[in-house]
Amino acid sequence: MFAWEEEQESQLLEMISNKRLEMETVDKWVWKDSESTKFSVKSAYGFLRGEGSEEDSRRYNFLWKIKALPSA
Amino acid sequence: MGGMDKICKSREEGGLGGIINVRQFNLALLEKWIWRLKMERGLWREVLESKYGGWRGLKEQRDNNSKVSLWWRDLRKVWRFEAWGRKFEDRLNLEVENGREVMFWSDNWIDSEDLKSRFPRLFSLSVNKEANLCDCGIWGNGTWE
Repeated sequence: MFAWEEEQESQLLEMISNKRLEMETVDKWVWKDSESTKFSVKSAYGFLRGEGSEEDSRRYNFLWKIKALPSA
Repeated sequence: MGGMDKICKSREEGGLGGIINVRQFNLALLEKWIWRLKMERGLWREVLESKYGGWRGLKEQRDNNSKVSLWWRDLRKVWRFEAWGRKFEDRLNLEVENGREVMFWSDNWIDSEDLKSRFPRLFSLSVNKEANLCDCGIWGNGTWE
């Protein structure tokens, strides 16, 4: 390794040095826009419509009550 | 698009009220596929994993050759799509615990930038470019050794 590469290496090691892994727990994806932390089409659509608040999204509540076939 | 936006507003706001913006609704449905690609296990995911590299393959800007399905091209567009300054990925968080889901060089597990872009030279020297975080270094009691 060249000197500048070694410098990069120590930078990298410094960056990761204070990260800790929890081997007992699995990694988890969290959807920020929904309280359940799971993705929902409702929350995604609400976001795209630009509706941040719960109040705004109530306007579309009918949509989630439509008797539709379960997704494929 | 402008007209659609107007129609979909509530009556109070001068729209027709209760009409779905189908373009945005379709986007939301496509986003669900990306979520499922990340979350679910199964043959369907393994097929996409080997054909396109799974959800990580969505980041790649390969040219649209005819072997890529239309659906997958749409998903790529959805991946890049930005609404209100946020892309799909910006609305997701990965809570790193055991590091099994995380690729050391390619995923943003430490910073908003992935390590291969930040340290390209080290990446090119690395032996296992697709290593998972949990397989990097020796983890003793959850720390680097």
